[in-house]
Amino acid sequence: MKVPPKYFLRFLRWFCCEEYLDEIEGDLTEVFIKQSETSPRKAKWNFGWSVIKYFRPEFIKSFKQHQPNRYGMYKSYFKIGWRSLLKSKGYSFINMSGLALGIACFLFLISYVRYERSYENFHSNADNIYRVTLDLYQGEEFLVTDCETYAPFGPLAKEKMPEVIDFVRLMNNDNTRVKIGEQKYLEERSYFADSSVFTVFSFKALHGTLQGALSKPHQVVITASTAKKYFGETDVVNQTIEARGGLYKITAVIEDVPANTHLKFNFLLSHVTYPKIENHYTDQSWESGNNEYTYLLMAPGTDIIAFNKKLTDLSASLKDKINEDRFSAEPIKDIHLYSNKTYEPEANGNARTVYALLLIAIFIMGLAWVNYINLSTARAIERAREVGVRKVMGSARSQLVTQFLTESIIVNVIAALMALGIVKIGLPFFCELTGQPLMDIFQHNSFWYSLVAILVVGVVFSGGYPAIVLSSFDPVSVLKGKFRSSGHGQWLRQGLVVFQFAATTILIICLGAVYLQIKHLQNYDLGMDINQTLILRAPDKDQADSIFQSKYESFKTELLRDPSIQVVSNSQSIPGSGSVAGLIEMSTTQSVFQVGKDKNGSSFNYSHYPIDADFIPAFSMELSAGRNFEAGMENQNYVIINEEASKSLGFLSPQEAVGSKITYRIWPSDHSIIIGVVKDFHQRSPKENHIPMIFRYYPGLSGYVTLKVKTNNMEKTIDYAKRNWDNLFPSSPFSYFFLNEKYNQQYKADAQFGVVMATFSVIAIVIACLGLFGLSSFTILQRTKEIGIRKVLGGSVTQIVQLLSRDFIKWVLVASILAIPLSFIIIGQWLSTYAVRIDLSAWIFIVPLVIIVLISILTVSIQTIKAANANPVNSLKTE
Amino acid sequence: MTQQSLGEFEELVLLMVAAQHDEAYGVTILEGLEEKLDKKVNISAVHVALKRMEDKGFVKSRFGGITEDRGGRRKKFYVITALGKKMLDAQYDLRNSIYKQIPKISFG
Repeated sequence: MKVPPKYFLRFLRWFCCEEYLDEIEGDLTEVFIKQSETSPRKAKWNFGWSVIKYFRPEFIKSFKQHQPNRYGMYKSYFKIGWRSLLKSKGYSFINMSGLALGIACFLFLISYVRYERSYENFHSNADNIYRVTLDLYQGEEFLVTDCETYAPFGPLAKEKMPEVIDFVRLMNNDNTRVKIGEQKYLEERSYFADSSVFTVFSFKALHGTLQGALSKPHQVVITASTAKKYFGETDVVNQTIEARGGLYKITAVIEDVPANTHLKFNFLLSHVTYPKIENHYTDQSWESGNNEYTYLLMAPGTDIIAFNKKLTDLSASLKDKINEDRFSAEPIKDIHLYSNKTYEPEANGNARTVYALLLIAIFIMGLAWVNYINLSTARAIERAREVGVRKVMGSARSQLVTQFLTESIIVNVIAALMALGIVKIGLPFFCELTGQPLMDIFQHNSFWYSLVAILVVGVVFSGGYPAIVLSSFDPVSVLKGKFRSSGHGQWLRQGLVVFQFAATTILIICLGAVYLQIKHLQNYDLGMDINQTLILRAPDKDQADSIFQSKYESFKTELLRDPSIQVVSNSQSIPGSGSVAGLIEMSTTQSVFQVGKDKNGSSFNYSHYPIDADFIPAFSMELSAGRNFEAGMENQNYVIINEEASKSLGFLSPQEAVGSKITYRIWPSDHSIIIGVVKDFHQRSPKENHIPMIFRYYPGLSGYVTLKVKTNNMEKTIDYAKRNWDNLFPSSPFSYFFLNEKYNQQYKADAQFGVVMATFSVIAIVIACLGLFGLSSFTILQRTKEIGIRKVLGGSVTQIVQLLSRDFIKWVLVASILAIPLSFIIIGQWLSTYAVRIDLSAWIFIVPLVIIVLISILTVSIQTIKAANANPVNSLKTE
Repeated sequence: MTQQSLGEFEELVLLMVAAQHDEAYGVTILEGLEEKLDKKVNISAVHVALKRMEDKGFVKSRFGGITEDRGGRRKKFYVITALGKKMLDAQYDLRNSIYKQIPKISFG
């Protein structure tokens, strides 16, 4: 018999309403059969054409009425979902607390990453502001990039380059003393700034106008909190403060500088003041050194690569003035995370750290989702009968999927709410942990976006797979009881456990390496001794040099009378200067060379280090050749250099350097004789390579006074020093710190990273173990009868524990072993950024592995031992 | 619905339903029409006309038994209603009365 074309028939049946289907399909078939006796082809064609003609509103069924009462169904999904959560409270709790922890960590870390990437965003021109830095070269060899550049560069760039709209120069004025009436303050952060600072950057005025606020000499703009500190109120326009070089009139008060900028300050002095108070300086001279942070406001859409090329050409044309230095520009938004050059205004963040944390966040979220997937699919057998009955009762697969997805929505939403609670409670701790002001994270849209994204991805990703698995059961075999074990998706579950523990092991291994590296840096032989070293800030010079000098001498004599004080030294800089925030930077000079040698042969940045004769003994530094300065002698023409400088000056050995003469490009008539070469010590952190340094004899009493102390009663020594200080320098504040503490601040960022990582690693372990705990307890529940029978037949407790644990421990072991090569690569990458680093011993890998295996054995055995000790009667008496 | 209307094709289908009294369903109507009009008619047009006339109350329907050659589908038989018959009569009278008014015209 002829059959009408199947596809058209199916189409007809799909759209046509039941009421007319009998008539239409019947008549069509009859006509078709009659027609196909004469011409089958035409009949088919006709049939199709007719079907299409029926596709009109009168005959199309209402698809809306397909599910008569959707609301009722959803209500039922929620009810059933809720009940199944309550039915097994233990698993639900493990599921939800794991998820909540994961979500909370993720939100924390995302907020942190957002904050780290938000630097400079508050400037409305942020995308068009570039900082010009100075690349220092020796010949063609790149040495280092200095963030500060020459004073005349800004005006020159604006004049010569059409794409430069404006420039602003800021000159560092760290550690300046401020006097308001009789009150004295030491301010760490301030700058001499061009008046364009307010047009290029976006600072908001609270009082006064910013227009031309810094255009005249002796003007100052201060921040609100500084104003409060000085005057107790913010409306202080037209008041005066006494700072470096005299009185300054306050022309405006601005809002506090946000925390997420690299350029922080308490006040800005007008740049035009500087040439007036420092007579060696003019801002037209290339000879005044490179001490200006220079920012350019560029026309929107400027190509930075092309612009940098132009800067290189410009540098070449200025060769007679700046030697081989090259200008280069970087977007200010990149400064915080990517710059890390020398003389940064503040310690930068590290993009690598930020992305590492982002990776950890994703890891932890993944762990939590894996828990959900594992527990839901493992429990499949419990739900199998329900699925079977539902299917028999006419439930479509899509409805079952919806039901399981609803459950996952319930779990995820509750977990998200718990996570919000955790975030709220944990926020102060997190702020302390990261050292960043993140208290306002709830106010950022991105926080809520990521929460919603996590929820959606979580529901689809973690709920989707179990939903598909559970809804796929064949009702006949399930109801007959053929569906035995939850072997379904076994490989996936094991794979996921492997993933979890591999991730956790990697975290722990990396954590261990970070810890050891920081420890290593702190205990590293710095080439000097900075323990038991008390540093005082040198007193203000408010009297004639000679009087002052004699006062210092008597202060020193007094101090040395105390048996606990061994050496007293005065120097412009101290170890840590130049890399520890808050310490006076070292001044640098380029182009130092041997007398009679090629001028351009050496354009290293040499650090200038004015010291007295006691400096080298105070820090227990060693001389590899020559001698130290002698106090009370004429030392004016002598210098001491370090080994690095000896190398870069072209001496073959320290011995050769001693007795040679060096000179400077800026002061060609100034010849200095090298009398000694000091062994390299880590002036900056051991993270970095040694820098070339030149020590000159200058007991001028500025900078710092170093006290080498040997005592068990530090308090008493400090007290003694303070008493003498107050006698001799009553007008100067006595401010001191311990050098080792200050110096170790350089590792603060690393240490903080370590602590953050430790915290989140612990959370990751907790989540992974929660999952393992749930999974093992469930599997054991499945095997209760088996355990009972084994015991009845004579299996010992040990054997049963072994049997039950073996499966899990096996996979944990596989995971840990997989983790080793991965973490090896990661640690290697991270360590490569340090000049001084630990050797990777096998222990770094073995110890975490053992820890992980022990923890997982512990987790699993809590369950297995309980199960093995249970009385077999209890498990066997019921069927 | 005060003014019941009857389209030309609908009128033909209605006539056919009346003519095949109690034996009329889709296919017989289609075949009858094709024979009388001597042209191909699409079955869907017949069904649309039938559905509309049923809505207007000119025809009523009942289901017949299942037959093999219809793929297991029942026949739907149509019968003209009193209203339908009245409509046909009115239509017939209208045409007749106008026709009678035609004067004798010769087409020499």
